Amino acid sequence: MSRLALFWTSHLIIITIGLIGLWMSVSVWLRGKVNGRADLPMGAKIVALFKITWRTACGAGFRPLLGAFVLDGLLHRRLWQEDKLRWIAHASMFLPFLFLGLLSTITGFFEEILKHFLHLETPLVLFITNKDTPLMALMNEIGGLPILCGGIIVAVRRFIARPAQLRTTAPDTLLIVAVLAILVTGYPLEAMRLLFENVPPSLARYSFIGYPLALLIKPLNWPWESIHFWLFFFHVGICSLALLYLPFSKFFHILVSPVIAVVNSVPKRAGFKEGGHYA
Amino acid sequence: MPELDLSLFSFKQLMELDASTRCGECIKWCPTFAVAERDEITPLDKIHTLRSFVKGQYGGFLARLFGNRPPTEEGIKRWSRGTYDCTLCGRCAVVCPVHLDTRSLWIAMREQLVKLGSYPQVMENLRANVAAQYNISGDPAQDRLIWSENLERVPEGVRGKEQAEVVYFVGCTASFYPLTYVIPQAFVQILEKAGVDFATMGAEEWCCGFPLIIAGMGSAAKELIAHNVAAVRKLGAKTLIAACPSCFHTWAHTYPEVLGEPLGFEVKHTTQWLEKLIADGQIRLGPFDRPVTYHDPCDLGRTSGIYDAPRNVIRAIPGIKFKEMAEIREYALCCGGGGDVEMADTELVAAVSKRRLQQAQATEAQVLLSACQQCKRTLTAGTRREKVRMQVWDVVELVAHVTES
Repeated sequence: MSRLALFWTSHLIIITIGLIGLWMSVSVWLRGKVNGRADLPMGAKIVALFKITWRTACGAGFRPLLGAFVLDGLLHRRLWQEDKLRWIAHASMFLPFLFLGLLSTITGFFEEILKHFLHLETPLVLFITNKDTPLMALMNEIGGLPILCGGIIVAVRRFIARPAQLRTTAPDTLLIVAVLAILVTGYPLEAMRLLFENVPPSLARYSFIGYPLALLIKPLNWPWESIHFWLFFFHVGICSLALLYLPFSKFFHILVSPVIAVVNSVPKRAGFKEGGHYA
Repeated sequence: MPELDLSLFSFKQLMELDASTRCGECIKWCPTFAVAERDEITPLDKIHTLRSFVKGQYGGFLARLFGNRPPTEEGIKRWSRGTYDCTLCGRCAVVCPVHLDTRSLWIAMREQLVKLGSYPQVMENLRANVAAQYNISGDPAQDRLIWSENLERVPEGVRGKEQAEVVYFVGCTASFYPLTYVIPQAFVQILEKAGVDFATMGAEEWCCGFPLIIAGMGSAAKELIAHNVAAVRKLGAKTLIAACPSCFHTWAHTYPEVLGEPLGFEVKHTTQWLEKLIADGQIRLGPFDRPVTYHDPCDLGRTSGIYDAPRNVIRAIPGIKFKEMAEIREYALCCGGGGDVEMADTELVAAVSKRRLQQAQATEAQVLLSACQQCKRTLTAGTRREKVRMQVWDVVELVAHVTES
């Protein structure tokens, strides 16, 4: 099986398990009341939720909801007001992860669907799928740096500074280690790729971390392609496991909390709904 | 084995359990955890505990593979202790980076705990008192106006009116706890001086239902709600005024939800009404030169969003020296008197109120103002216990003190 076939097979499995995990959570939420009623069948609750969402969006207006989504769901302005360092740690991990995730999805789509499946070779396809174009190389390199800084701040807070408010559990530690492992392996991977693909220095220099690293390890004269192959699977493996674990872990909040931030930003029709009695 | 009933929670509340980032910001701000230092009190722990129960029983990966794991008796007891030791101040909701509506969640948790039979048994006394006498103290219902008995002159609106523009809903605390009799006494005198056509409801005033709702016994409040609304409508009032922020909030926000229709009259808090009387020139205020500070009641501020009305009233008094405390408005520290905690754990309440009193003392105020009967009770008890030379007044008392006849 080729590397890419294995990559896509594993990704499809991960996406399937992720969707199953998501449904498991949604099916638990659907045991609760929708529109004040818990006795409705699941299908009716889903329809009611869509209706409420549509009515709310039309009533409150899409612009304020979008504002809440961006400012509270993605940028976490409250965290910024409360603790700048924590905001920096969180934003420098969350936002670049989002950015790199989107970049990977887009490049994956161009590479696998447009280029290999549909055999399109337009300038845009060639540009996006070429890791060595200055823009693509820079975006990938820059994206990883803040995550590394954020990861270090998080690790220092969790394991050295230990502010009293933090409750670090084994899954927290596991996920921090996984994130750091993804990052630590990412730059050497790029360095090895530059070496075995013999990328010319005029292009390689845009990988401003990968290239110096490549120069540093080059004298070792190891079988870079083979090492890259296995390190790539290690790197992708951890990424995949982290993704797989997402709906079952505290990192599920990445998907859920922006939704909640938007929902709770909508002015309530008649104040707080006590105890979920009338919610 | 105890089993959870998720139908007591809303879809959104169950979703909120998964939205918690476990950042612990709420822990920093929790007033009861700050003094009790028991992890089960923290908002984070309560959410995490319920989430683990839910996952164990319904949704967890392992639960699906190997069968359900209902919560243990000990786990439920611990969760109950934490949930009922919360004053429902709602400060955790203000600081939560992802905007969890925590206060509603705590109340839903209490409903669940009542259903599981794991709650302080003193709450049963509350339910029995309200069922028998329609008030929280268990005093005879016909004594609702006992606070008016030592007034030099009882205004006409206090007794016997069958129609009035304004209904003054006194609330259980001011009606039956002598320390706070002074608030309705002061307020009815202000109303009379301002020439307001008002009435009280006497024995027809039943508990607003708030203490039951927050105890997790909300279903028992429906009868009270129906009765109170019918009684006020019968008086033909256009406005209902409540001095108790919890009564105010319940009338203004919960009643229309329960009824499923508008009340047909507006609901105001006393501070809003006083602000209007002053602005309209219906009362004139004389000077007051002692330094004061103001404590935001949780149910008036964070829960109902009223921060400016009491401050505007205070600032309208000529010559007043008003200094704010360190934590105010949505960040105000709770006095400790909320959430029915007083019924179950008076020491915890005392410890929380001590912290708030220290903040008040730092302003060098001689009078600590609030706009809530329960805050007045809690903070006054604190001044006596801690031997703090500071008077605790409701804003209504201050206005009555300086109103010129």
